[in-house]
Amino acid sequence: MTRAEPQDMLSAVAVTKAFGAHLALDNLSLAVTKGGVIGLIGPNGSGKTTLFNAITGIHSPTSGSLHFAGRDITGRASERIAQLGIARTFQNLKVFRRLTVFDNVLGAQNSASDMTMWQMLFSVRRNETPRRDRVEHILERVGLTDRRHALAQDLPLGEQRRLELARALAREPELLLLDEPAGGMTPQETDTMAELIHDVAEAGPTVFLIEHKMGMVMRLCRHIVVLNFGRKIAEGTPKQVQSDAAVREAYLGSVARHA
Amino acid sequence: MTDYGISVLSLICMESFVALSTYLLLITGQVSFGQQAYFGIGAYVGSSLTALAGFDLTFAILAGALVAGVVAAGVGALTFRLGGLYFAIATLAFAELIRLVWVNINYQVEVDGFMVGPKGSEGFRDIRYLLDNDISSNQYLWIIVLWLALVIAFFIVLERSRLGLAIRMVENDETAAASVGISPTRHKIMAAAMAGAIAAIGGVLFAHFMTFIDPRNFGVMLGVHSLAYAMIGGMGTFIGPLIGVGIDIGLLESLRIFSGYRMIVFGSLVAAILIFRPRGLLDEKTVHRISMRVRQALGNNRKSTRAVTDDPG
Amino acid sequence: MLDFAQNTLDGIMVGASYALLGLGFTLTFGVMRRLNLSYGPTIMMGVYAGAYVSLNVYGSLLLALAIAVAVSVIVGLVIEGVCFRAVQSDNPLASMVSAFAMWMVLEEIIILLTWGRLFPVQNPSGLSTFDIGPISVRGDYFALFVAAVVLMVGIYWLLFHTAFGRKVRAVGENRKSAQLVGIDVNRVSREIFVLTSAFGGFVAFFIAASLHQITPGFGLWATVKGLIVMILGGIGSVPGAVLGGLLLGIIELQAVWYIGASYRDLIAFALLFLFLVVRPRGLLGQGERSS
Repeated sequence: MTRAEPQDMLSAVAVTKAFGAHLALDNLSLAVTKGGVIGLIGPNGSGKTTLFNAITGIHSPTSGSLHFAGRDITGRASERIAQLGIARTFQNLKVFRRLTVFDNVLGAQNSASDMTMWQMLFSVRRNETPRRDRVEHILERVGLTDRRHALAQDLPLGEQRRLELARALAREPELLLLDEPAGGMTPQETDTMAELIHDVAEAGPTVFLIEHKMGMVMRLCRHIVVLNFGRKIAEGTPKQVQSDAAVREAYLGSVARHA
Repeated sequence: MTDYGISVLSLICMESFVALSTYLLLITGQVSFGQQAYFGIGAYVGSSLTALAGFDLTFAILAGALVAGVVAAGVGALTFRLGGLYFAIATLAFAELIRLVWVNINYQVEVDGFMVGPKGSEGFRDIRYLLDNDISSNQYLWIIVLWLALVIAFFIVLERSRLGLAIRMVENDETAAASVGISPTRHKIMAAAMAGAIAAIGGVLFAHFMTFIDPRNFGVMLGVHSLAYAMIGGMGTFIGPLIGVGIDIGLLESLRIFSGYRMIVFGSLVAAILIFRPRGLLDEKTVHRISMRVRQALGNNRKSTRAVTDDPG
Repeated sequence: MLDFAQNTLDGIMVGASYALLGLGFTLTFGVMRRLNLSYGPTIMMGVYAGAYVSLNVYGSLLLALAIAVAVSVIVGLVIEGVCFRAVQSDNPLASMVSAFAMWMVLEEIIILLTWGRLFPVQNPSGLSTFDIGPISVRGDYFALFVAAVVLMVGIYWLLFHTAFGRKVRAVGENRKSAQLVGIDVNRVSREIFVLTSAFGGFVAFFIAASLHQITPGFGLWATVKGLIVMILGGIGSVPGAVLGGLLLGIIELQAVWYIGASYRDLIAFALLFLFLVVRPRGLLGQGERSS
């Protein structure tokens, strides 16, 4: 069994998550060190999103523990974990549909959680220039400046994915979990997204990335973890992973089945 | 103004408190069938304070709001973790529970030779504050309007504030709200407390307007109506529930075209709205479109003035 | 001790009818994942229709029951169409609010037609009280109890031994996958409304008959009893609804005897609220579904 090492940004120690008799995560241990983009890949249903959900407190693990920046975050409430500096996007898009793009990002900003309710009530939105500037800056980075006054529900899928990224960036996180940020996108949109993720990782947060598009994963990640049936079957650099027999078996096998 | 006009207007204003109370929970993503419980708590607590203990009306309103707010927060804290469906049932159960408490409560004291106080299902009679203090129904209407204005001011501040934004984020998607550090439970409890307090203000005002209250005033129909007001009016802005009240009492009741059929017309209207316009007349989309228009108009103005002044530089 | 036993027996007999109201709620919820709050008013319409016919047209218990069931089914189908099929919101509470609005409409229709007065329902059994040892059995309660048990056995058979029951349970398990394997979910929804309205109308008529009368408040009464039973037993649980109904019946009648009649409903609501807070899964409800 591995231990939580203090230098790791994020570590999972023997995490198991059971849904009834089904083990979505099976005694999984892994560590994410600071900096760059780390990939998390595996066939459908291998437990990738479940791991993200466990890390962000949506499902607390059945057993095992999770640590972030030296703190035990196992089973803590989602919002507490978010306040510690983990932000995420969702595979099945969870933008605030009936709010504008601008408000989606504005409401996510870090300081919101540090204010008391009364402060929040009397902090009138329009007077907060520095905050608005930061929102505008983030929208520019993800290329949504022109859409800032649109309702999120009116955006096409690609833009909703970028909005989710923008919302997560507004948190100024230390660790950014991206769950299939290029899912359902055209090749061009995917390229733009890949560049964006690259720039984001350069600028600050460590990125933990779930993605099925292998070209993008291989190009972006310095380190890749491979899951199958809730267990870690391999990890290493893109090269090492690509040449790993178990990975080829799990992946190509499943690809063959899907095809 | 005629007495009838004054009493209809007073009624519209007082219903508005419950409608706004239900609306506040709706924009937090919670359906409550039971805001009449807090209206009732306000009415009973407030009347007891003025009629039995001789306190001032303003104090009674504040105290009623405080008590109702605390109770509402407690009910919310107990039930919010269960999810929306259970909360909706719990509000219904709690409201009926409270109504049956009024039916069973008997506490009277002698005031100026009269026995005053809640007397079970016969209700609470002789809330003589307005008579004793020579407040005419016209003057009292202004007091009601003043309190409603205060509550509306609260909503104006709320809808522009970060708290309002956070509440709407919780309503849109709890998981996503939590993922950006906003506690859904804390915000829901907060909203429930504020909603309870708002309903209670209306309750205190109602009791003193009627001069007697009985448990039937706080039955489930009041809760259904206030929910209907918010759903008809729409969930995009606090003006929505006020329009709902206006349609029901202002049009259906006072025009008397539908007298006798009012509930049928009103109930069908709600059912139709839910089919054709599920988030009400003034839903978020409509409010957004209107605000864009306004913004555009203002923006054009600003641009043209700037063009004039900036030209030389 | 004898009082306690007598109350318990009465409670079981009354509780059996509560159990059916609870079953009506829990079966509808199982299939629709939405609460039908106008269930009570729906079956109330049936009782009024049945009682009207037997009073003014032809005084036959069978005819009255048939009318009660038929009218309940028709009203149930209207509710299904207006509040459930037509309301396409992804928020389950929208249907709940719509059903509440229709409740107002139904209640008002009854008030308009009867001027809100009591409406007599003839006690059809004509059975008088009989004794078993020291315990006496009220004839109409006994008829109610027998009717409820027969219906429960029938419902159990329908649910667990027929193709229809398999479909209902499949849709209850997972609506989407049921659709994928070719089950016509809309049809099952309609059928469950037919079923619950039919046995609801039947049992409601017996309940009203044991009271000799019906008022427009019956809808609220039936909805509230059904809701409480469903929560006590656990949402979606068929045996839970039966157990919940019996429990509520027994507790109510003990409360009436030992505390006082005016506390009957108060106790019922307190029980509901307590369960919601302490044990929201109910007696036999499953835990949260994993998503």
